[in-house]
Amino acid sequence: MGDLLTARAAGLSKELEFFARSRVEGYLKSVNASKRKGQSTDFVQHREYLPGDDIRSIDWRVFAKSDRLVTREYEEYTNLDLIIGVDFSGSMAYPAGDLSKIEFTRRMTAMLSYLLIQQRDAVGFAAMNSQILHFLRPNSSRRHLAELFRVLVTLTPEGDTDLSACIRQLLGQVRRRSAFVFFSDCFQDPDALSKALGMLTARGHDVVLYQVYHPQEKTLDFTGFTLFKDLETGEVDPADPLEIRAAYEEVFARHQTSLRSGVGRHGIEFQSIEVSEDWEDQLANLLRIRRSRK
Amino acid sequence: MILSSPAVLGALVFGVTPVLIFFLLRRRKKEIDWGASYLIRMTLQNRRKTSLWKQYVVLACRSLLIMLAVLLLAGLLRENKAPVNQVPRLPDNPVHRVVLLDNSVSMSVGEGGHSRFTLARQVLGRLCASQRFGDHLTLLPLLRSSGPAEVISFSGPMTEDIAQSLERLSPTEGHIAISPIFTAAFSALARTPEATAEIYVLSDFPRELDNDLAHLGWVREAIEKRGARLIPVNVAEEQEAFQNVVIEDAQIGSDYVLAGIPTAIYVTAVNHSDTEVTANLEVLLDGNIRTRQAVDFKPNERKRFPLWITLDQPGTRAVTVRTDHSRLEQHGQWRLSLSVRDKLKVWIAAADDVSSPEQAIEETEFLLRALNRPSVGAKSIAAEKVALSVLTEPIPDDIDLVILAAPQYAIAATTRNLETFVRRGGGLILAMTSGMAYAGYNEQYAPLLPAPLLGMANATVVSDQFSLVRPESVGDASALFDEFTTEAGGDLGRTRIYNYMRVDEDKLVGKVIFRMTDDAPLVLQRLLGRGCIFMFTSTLGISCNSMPVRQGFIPFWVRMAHAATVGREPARNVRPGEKLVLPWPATGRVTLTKPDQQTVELKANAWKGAAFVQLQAPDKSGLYRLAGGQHMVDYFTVRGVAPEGDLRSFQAGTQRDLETALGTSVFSSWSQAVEHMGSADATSDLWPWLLMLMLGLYSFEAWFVRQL
Repeated sequence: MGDLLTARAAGLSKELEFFARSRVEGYLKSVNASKRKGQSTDFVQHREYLPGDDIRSIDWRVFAKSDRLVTREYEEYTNLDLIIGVDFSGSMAYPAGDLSKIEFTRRMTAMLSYLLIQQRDAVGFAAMNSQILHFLRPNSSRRHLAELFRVLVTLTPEGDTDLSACIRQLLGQVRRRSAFVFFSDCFQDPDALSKALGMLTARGHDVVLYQVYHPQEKTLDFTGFTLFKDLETGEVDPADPLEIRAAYEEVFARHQTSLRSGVGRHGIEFQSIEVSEDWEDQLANLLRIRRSRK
Repeated sequence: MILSSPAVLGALVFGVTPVLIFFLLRRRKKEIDWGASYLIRMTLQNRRKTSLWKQYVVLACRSLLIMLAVLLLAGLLRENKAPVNQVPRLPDNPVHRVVLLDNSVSMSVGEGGHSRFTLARQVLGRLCASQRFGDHLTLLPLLRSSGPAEVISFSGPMTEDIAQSLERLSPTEGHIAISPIFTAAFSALARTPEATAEIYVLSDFPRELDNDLAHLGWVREAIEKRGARLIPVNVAEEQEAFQNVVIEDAQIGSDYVLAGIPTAIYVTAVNHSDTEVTANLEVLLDGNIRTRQAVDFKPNERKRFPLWITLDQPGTRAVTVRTDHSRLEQHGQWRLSLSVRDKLKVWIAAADDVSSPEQAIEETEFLLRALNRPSVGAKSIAAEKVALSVLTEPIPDDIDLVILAAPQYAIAATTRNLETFVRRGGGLILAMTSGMAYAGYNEQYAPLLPAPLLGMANATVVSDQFSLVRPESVGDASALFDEFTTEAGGDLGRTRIYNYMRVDEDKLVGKVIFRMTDDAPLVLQRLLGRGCIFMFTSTLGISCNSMPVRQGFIPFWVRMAHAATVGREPARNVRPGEKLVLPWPATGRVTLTKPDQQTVELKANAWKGAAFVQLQAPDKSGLYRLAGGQHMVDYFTVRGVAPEGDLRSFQAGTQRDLETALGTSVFSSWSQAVEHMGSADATSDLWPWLLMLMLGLYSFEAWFVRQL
């Protein structure tokens, strides 16, 4: 656990908050907004006084000005159920030896999980490839966090990618409105993926998609005629990187654009993350971006 | 040929590099585990439409770019070297080049196989090789040989056939006439009025052209009118200084010599050089040197001198006169075909009646004994005294000479026989004496006399009244008597002629051979048919002259006999086109071998019981050999003046005259001419095109790759 969650990451987590952009239900008063209106310090709106309302909620200033009796409504914060979905298909094992995508994702997941536990939110976990390999229901206990970490480091990437199928499975398993954060390289049909993720948002879930990719997967920085062996299927595609580089970069950019626009239509936040050693800063940055959009 | 260029080879080697890299990389594949195969497949799927040939197009473009870069670099590097100066720069529009090529004998001059002609042919080859499509080239040899002039004319680049035609060109004998060739040149240019005209003259400008300068006055104007460019180039190397003694003639005066009697071959040779020369002249018989003599020549001196030879074996011979100081072999030797006769059969006919003067009879005997004397000078003559009446019968064929020893009366019955005899090649010598009935001679022997007789000059002989013989008076009358103009003539010149028969020179039929100091003829000659008649106006004996007591008496009479009987032998040294009739032992096939060793089959035909070979002397000078059955071998020589004996280029004064006539300078070398016209260095004109091609190719490749 110490490897997954560095001291720095733990320190950063204390400073950051994960906000679900949409209101979720929760049974703990947490930093996440609930769609219920309750007692808190965040004013939301005025409404006509109705007999039986708490007199303390009457806004006397408005009465003084307008001779109308109105009451203040405040946001009610509940705890957050966050389910982190991690792509454990074979492609996430790239590259072997260096900081791979899955390794990077593990760290990110660990940091995020810790953050949520710190803010007394519940975090769940789903390991996916062409199906859900392992599912942990959201829980806010430390023991649950340890279990999450264990699963995180135990599982190894293998098999094909079919996040769409996994998401449909998740739909059946998660009743309560939750936040979903998916880490995947998204190397599949973007339309299918967007559609599947859209089903989650249609159910009122808050979805964030983080595409994780290695720099070489973007630039195809190789020389010489190469046999590209698919980590998922084992198929070999021979190509000369020098010849196809320009076209590949174009395909990569187009794929990202398709993903961004596809998931954006469903109100899903999308960010591309390049695998790098400063994963803590990357996650912190992502969360800041998210907070700024709240 | 193109592959021998280092630049091209380098371009090919480097140009293959992208292809090698392409296939090497294909072989050296590396396998990696890849996480974004979805994207790779999508990329490859998009590119699947691009077939393999498009990849090859890109490869070809890159290979070609490298090759062009190498060629460009080679061209740029070559730019810094000295220009080759081999071909003049071509004008932008089509050009018609007319090349006047000197193919005369003087162009053969050169050392080690590198003659003036080979140099001219190299230049011609370069001009032909630089032809472009649309260009024309016409080659006109300067020499007009007996056949049609060989003209090579073609358009566009040189073909293999043209190259072979050029290889067949070689110097030949003949006389240069440059003015008509210029006419032909302008006629050729008239066929292509739109093309730029260039006239090249590749010649060593021999001195015989001096005679042609007067006819070149029109050329300058014609050049200006046509707008042509004239480039005369002297292909003779400067400062050529070589000794060149040329034999222009060699003759004996007869086509036969008498065995055992020294005979002079009179050689005319000229020193065509600006230095004094001592040349060795030799006479060879059957390859063996029989005579050698050193002769001194002053610069540019022409000389005539005798080379003495004595031949002992009868038969037909080929004699060569040569010198070792000739620049060209054909100018340093002369062939003579000779027949060596062992004996001349002579009849000395005198009257045998008592009416003839007694001294005449004595003089006849005197001559008879002198000629039959077994001395060196007379062993080839067998003289016999016959009565005059014998001549009333046909003279036998084996008699070569009849000496009519001054009978008092001319017998009419002998006239016809003598005439027939002479016409058939026999010789006749008429001697005079006082007391002979010369009027009767004039009447009866009119067909035989060189001139009518007018009677003796003096009534009596006075010892202190005489004329001397003038040996120098023989001049060019007969080569056989040339020796008397030298030391031998000294003795003859002291011969006193006390009395002689006067002749009417106004009615001379023939020519005077010798005169005396009073200018009266001593020896006259008349040619009749194939034979020859000499008239000696004095006596055979000492009654009217002192010749018999002089040392030159017998040589003189031997020469007289020899000269009179030249018609006894068929002519063997003839001019081109002359008719030759040579006796042959039998009819049948005869092989003629020419000087170039080619053979021709002839036929000996019968005529009046004898066989003869009859032919017309060919044009080519030299020794010809006839051979047939019964081991018969005969020779004849076609005499020709060696053309262009002077191999030197024109003198400075002539050059100025020529340049004035042509309106341009004569270049002293081809390099100078090219430098003046500007060298067409192919690479210097090519590199801008190479660069443009490279840029275009690079742009295409870049665009094509993007399309892929």
